Amino acid sequence: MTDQPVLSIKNLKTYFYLEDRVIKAVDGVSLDVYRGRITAIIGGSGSGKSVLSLSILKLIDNPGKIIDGEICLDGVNIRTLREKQLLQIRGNEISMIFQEPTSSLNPVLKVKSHLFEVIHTHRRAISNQAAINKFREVLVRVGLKNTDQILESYPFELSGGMCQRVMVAMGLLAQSQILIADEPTSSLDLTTQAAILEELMHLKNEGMAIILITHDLGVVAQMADDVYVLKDGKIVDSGTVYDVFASPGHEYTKSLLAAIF
Amino acid sequence: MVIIFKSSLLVKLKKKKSAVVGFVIIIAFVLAGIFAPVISPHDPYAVDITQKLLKPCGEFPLGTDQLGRCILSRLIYGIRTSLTTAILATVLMLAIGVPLGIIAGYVGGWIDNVIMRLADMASTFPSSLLALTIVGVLGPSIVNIMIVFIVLWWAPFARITRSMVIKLKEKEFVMAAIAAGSSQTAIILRHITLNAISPIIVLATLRIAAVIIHVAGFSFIGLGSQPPIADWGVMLSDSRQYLISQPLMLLWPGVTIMLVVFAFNILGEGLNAVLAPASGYALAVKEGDEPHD
Repeated sequence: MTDQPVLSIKNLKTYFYLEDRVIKAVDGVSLDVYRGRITAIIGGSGSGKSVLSLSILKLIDNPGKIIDGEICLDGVNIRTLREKQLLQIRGNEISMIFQEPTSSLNPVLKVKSHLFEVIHTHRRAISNQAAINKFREVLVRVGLKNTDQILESYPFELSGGMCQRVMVAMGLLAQSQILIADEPTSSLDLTTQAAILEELMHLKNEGMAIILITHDLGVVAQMADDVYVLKDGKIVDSGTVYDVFASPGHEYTKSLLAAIF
Repeated sequence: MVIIFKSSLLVKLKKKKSAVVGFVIIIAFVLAGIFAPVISPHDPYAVDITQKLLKPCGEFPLGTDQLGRCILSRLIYGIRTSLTTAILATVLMLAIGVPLGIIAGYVGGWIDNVIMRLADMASTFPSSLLALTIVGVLGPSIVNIMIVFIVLWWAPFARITRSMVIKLKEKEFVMAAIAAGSSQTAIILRHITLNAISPIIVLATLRIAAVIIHVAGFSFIGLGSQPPIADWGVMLSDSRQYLISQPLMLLWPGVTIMLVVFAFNILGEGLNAVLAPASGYALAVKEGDEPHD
């Protein structure tokens, strides 16, 4: 952990302004993400994990608003960037795997078209045939067989697990610096989970920074390097996975751990 | 992309028998309209008073009208007037309604409000009143009647597109596309509009039928096509005076209009049944959707 964090969040606040009250979904979160490490963000439902990950990409829509804090990517504060510059960052620097695999793919586009879109948004000069070969390669890497058939399939013709793996393949194809994985394994069976997690480990070893958002402590124990525990929009516990699991500093972490061990 | 979409659509449509019937009738009409000079037995405008008001016979399969013109030939040439106006008018309604609906749904806010209030005005304005006004100012012609329907009937297209866009823009895959860095154009065209296309196709099919019947109606009362143009509405209007002596003159254009409208309607219903389950959005095309006159 000697080098600079690739992503550094300081005192981030994302509030949702409803008619009669304000929901402080993320309330003063600070965290650092390093290259070649997996940073896990854990917390129960409604703790603000997903809002945090959407805030990083500035994907918060009305009535939500990022009201304070810094999101520094390689020293550049994303919060001050304009929409056009954000397009360069989304997908190029930071890519994201969403929670719901089946609804995160466009039902009228083939898998092939989804993968082509990743390539086109990143303006890679590559021939169609070379692109298709590359697609086959990433699909095999996430453990899919029959790649030709899958490329020609529409999302609704695939199972949830297959869609999730296609999403991961899209993340691989983007070759971004940071990958945010929002519950990447929650809807998968155990063997598929293992395959996806292994691929994430692989990416980490290649030097990618991974933010793993989950409530599955088993996955965290196995995968993560750094852990942040989120409760009610605040970080209540943080440190390396060893520190947090061995000596939890907060009651909430203790209760989380007690629930599984 | 579009070709694949269409071919898979045709395969699915085959399962729906009534839609196939409608489709075949429409294709037959379109072909007859295109090859009208080849297949019509006579010149539709050739007047021969000595042959007037004939019953169907070998030379005139459907008989002749009050000026001795071949009714079958006039019906065949009438396809050209009817279908081109209906299809052109519907395409223009789409061209106005769909982009406005996309803007209203995607941008929201006051722009949405302005567009939808315009749509409300268009839907509530009586078409016959507007037709009289436009015809009064510009003179009776089929083009002016087309203008009436384009001015009023873009509204349902805008409304249905808007509601689809509003539903779709909250979808996870749109969020995922934004997160992946897709440009706004790509999101609107590939992720939103492509998903909204099926109900629009269904509505357009049904609208073609509605335009045909309304344009014929306006031609009947003398606001649309003018004699001697071969037009079904005009033919109906001509037949009124000979209702007792030559009732078949009324029957033929009536049956033709009914057949075409029926064909478009069952095709539209079939498309709705076929497309709705795939896209997950059924279109409510029952009563209440038709604009009032």
